Amino acid sequence: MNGYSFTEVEGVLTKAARGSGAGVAHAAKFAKAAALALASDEGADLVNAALADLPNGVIRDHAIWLQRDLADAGEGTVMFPIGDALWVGYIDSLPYKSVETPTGKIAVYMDVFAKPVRPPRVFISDKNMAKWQVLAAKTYVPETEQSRLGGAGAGLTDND
Amino acid sequence: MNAFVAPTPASLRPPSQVMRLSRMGSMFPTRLSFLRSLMRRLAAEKVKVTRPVWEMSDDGFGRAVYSLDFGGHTYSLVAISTDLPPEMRTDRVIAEAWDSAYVLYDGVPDAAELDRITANAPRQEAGRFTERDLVLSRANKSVRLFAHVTERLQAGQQPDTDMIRSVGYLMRTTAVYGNGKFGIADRRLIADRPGLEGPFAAEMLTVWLIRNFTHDLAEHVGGAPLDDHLKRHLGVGNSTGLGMAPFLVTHPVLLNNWMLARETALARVRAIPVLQPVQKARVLELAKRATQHLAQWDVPDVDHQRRIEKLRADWAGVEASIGLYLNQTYPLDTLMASMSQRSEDVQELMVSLLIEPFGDLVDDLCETMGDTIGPLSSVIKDTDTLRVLLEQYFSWAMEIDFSAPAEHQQFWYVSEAKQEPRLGDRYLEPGSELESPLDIARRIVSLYKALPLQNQSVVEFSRDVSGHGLAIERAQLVMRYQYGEIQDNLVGVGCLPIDMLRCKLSFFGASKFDPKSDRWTRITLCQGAPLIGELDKGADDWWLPVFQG
Repeated sequence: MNGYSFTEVEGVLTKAARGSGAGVAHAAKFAKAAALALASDEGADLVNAALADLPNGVIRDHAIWLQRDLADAGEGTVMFPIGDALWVGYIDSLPYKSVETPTGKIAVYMDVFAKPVRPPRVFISDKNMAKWQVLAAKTYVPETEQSRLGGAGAGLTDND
Repeated sequence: MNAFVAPTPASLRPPSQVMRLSRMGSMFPTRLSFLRSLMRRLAAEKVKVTRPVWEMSDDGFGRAVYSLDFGGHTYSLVAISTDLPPEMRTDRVIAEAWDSAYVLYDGVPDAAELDRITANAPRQEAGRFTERDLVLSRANKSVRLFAHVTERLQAGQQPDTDMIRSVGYLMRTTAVYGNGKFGIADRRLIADRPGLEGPFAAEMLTVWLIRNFTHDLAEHVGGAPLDDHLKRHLGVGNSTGLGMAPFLVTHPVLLNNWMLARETALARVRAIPVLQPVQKARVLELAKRATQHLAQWDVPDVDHQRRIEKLRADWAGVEASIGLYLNQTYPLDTLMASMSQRSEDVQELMVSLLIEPFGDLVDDLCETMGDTIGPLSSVIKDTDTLRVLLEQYFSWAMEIDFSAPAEHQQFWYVSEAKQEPRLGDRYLEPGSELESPLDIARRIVSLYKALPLQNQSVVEFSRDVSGHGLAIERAQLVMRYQYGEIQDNLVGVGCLPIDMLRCKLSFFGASKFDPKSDRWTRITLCQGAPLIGELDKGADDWWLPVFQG
């Protein structure tokens, strides 16, 4: 297992989801949630299963469910069911205070802003990181001579 | 959460005026720029910088460490200077070796940490870093000036002042990486620390320390001290390309907060009813300084040089007339209003000038320029409401005819080779099917056209019609973050990325923009900024620096 920054993991998973067929917005939400979920034992398996299900599955459904319940709640408190680590990651990514209730739900207080709590490092196996990088690479455009020369716009040497 | 300063909306220039590419590409640094606010914080704490490590060969290759206590934490810049063959020196992101590499470190590195950084920093993207590493950077020498300065010092002379003025830096950075890149610390790990709360504060601290290292290195190789007034004018150059441009699109909250702070500052000074004599004198003094700065700003690019020369001529007329306005009531509002028929270059220079003398009135706005929570979306429940909102806030996008090939001739993408943003021609280059989602206007128009005649919930619509998630998100943000959207077509043939670069770089505090194409530019940072021993001598009067040879 190697330690990565949260930003690195979020970045590779956003691209991996897009490379697997997710829409831009769904991919971004998934990556935030997934990077949090990876702190749990089941996290990597959930992330891989979600990516494998694209373009359907939880990456699409979780984003829509979240949007639906938040829209219904207005600015009050929303009660979400507790689910697996990936679902909890979606809720914990919201910029609002959330707490687990004694009745087995997660209460999200939409009138109390809070920063999502994230670990300093996310630990990922080489095998999983390699797998996600392969999926992410599906969003990259191979280099051509024209793009190499002109794509970034710079000249070739800068020795003045 | 950031302090929220409620503006008076009627007094702000509207987003439809401010958020246009050409105006953003005319911006100048202000006292709200991140380097300026950082210098004020460093000066307020009377920060002392020490140099516990200086292991450098006679010809200037080796490593050094600079340390400082700031906001209750200790930070160190680790600088590594290597012998780079000339044929390997390029500012492009495709480079694989540089004259120098840097890490801003959290604390003071022990021997093992120093060795780890020394092994990894010169490799940059190919290296691996930890959460103790806060910023990663690299810089190449201005070979011409570095060689001149060191040769003169070795000969017992000071360098030629014309060369100092015309180049303005000994090295230029080609990347300053923060926020988790290649394993360095995520931004949020330091975002609450006093002094580093502001956007890019850690990166700006790194740049300022690098500037000091370049001075020390030249003096070390030259074997004699540089005059302070020359050092003060030697900032840090920077080469910036397309990699920076998408940031403004992918961070609408930050863009909003930056622009809103700037516009609020302008509105506040325009609301001053009467100027005191000392304030009038200061405005006139700064207008004259702007004239001198423009006179010292020359670039090789013919078109941009022509633009600078036009600005010089226009500004000369403006400077001569400023005094006529200063005795009136609401003098700065009247003065700004009189600029309405002037070029955007003149108008934005005037904005920057008017804000400058009034730190007591505007400096608190620096505290509002971060994004500590993340996007706070407004909930849009149904498609009829969404349609009205699109018509209200995105009319600028609706005016673009996306059936015309020229309006989507360009496409943004990420290159496989360097995983960096690039811009291609949709009709000449492969890869547009992998386009990066910076085509906000086009997506908004596509969403608008897809909305059903029969009202339905946005959730149902999102489930039934895929591909509009990003556009719906932007619509949900726009009510709260009205300055968060660039109101131009970023895939049209007329989109010039250099405008985005200049906007962002002006917020960093950059000056002397030196475009090399419409996709990359050189700039100078920290020119005129206090040296490390000058933080207790007044550190805040270096807007549009002028070299007094």
